[in-house]
Amino acid sequence: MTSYIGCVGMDTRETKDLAEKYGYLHETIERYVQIFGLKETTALLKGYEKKPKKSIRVNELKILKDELVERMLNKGFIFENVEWYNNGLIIEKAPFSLGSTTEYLSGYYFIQSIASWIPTLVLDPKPREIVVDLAAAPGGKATHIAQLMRNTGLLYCLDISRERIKSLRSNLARCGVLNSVCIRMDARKFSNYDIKVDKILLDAPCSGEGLMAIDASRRKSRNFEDIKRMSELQKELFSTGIKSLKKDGILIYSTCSTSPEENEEVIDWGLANFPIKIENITLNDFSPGLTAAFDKQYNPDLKKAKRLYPHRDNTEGFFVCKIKLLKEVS
Amino acid sequence: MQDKTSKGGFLMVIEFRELTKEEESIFKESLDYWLTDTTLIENFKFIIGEGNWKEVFVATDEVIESLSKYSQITPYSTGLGIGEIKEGKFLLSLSGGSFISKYTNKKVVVNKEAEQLFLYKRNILGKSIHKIHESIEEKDKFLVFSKNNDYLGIGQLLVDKSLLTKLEFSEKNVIKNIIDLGWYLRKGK
Ligand SMILES: C[S@@+](CC[C@H](N)C(=O)[O-])C[C@H]1O[C@@H](n2cnc3c(N)ncnc32)[C@H](O)[C@@H]1O
Repeated sequence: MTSYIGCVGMDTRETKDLAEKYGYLHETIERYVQIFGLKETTALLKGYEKKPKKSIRVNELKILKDELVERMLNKGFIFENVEWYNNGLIIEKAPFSLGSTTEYLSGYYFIQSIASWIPTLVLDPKPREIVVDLAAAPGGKATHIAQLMRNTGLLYCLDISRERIKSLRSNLARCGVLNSVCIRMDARKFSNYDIKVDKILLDAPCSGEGLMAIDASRRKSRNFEDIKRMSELQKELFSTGIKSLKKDGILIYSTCSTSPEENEEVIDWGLANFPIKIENITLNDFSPGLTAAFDKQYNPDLKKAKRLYPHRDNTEGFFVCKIKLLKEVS
Repeated sequence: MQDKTSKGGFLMVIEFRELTKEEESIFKESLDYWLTDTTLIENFKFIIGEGNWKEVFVATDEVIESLSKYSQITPYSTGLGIGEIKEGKFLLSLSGGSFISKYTNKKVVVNKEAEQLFLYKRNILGKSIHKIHESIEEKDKFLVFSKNNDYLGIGQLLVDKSLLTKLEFSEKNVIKNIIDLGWYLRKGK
């Protein structure tokens, strides 16, 4: 049974009303209220009522932004720029499906939420580096990493799913990626290979709590048991990632979940078990990570992590944290 | 030609290795047909991934080095699959066409209407051809381009070139769709 239910001071009627109004499990709303308070929870739930605008990332391996924009404008698309990422475009108007244009099929862009640009931008992969994407399918971030590496060096793309690795391969091919090695495996075993790399992206499998707007069925289908199960898997993947980094290597941890157990708790556990530190993220003015949730206190450095919310950032719920390894571990 | 790694629901192991002398000569001979500028071959490294098929991949030096250094790893794919070697021939794949698209004159440009239809697997009518390179003959394969100069896929000429301008061929299929970028939507999802 969950420990937070029946918490002192919580008005059960109000949380039940919210759960009913927005179609969530009551336990989920109770958790939200404990984390964010009633006012912020109500704003969050309202935020999840509206789907975020679609966005695309220009694939510079194939085309430059100006040329793509001109072509898409001619087709009747209207875009808005994003202050903090020059190759990203928010779609204001799409006369037809973004996923069926010749430009899409040619790999000139990737349809990707604006939140999902952040982990790769913070990872900041450079040409000729060795990078691992521990949970890569369908390849939104992997193709972005390859782009920033200018298609040089080596990018290991791992995924456990037989179906999803096909999409990964297809997307890497569509985007013209040459520097990838795709491996279908349980990424928890990657450190057994004893490969030490410069940078790692762990865009972890998660409960998808942050996707309530995009997929409303999640509102009732995900419960605390899912979150706990995910948290354990995430810690194991995090541990593999840390063991595969060179000294001073960087690991970016991200999820599309807002639950502290899948985010701050994983990093807090990592800080207690490995020689790592959290680095600042200066990309934009997003909300800080939590330093406490429910009855737990987390490492104060967790405020350097970033959280994104639908009602504040017009995105899905998202978490990202930048980790530096201070000493190699095996 | 794109996803050859699963058969009957089972994933097979693909062994990555260098091209043999014979494979290299088959590959080069085919590229002689396709390429106007063979520096492309010198600038890139190619390897074979052999499972039930023999697929040619282009990849970075670091990718290729890693394959021999960590031979215990069995990748699902590496770099970009550009075609397969089959019965003594190299068959260019959809992504292979994209890879060589700037270095070939085996090109046919089609009009806007045919661009859309071709991307839905359709063949091309005589009236839809905007330009065809003079070196292309009946039964030859070539890359199909839009008027915007976007690579769309691979086609094959079904009729004698001299007939293309004849009125009776304007409504007939003259280019067979071998593969087109719509594959990424139909199969690659
Ligand atoms: C959040 S998605 C990754 C999205 C991807 N990074 C992108 O940007 O397109 C998480 C992925 O983790 C994969 N996954 C789950 N458990 C895994 C494991 N133990 N090892 C490797 N991959 C795993 C899932 O199949 C899923 O594709």
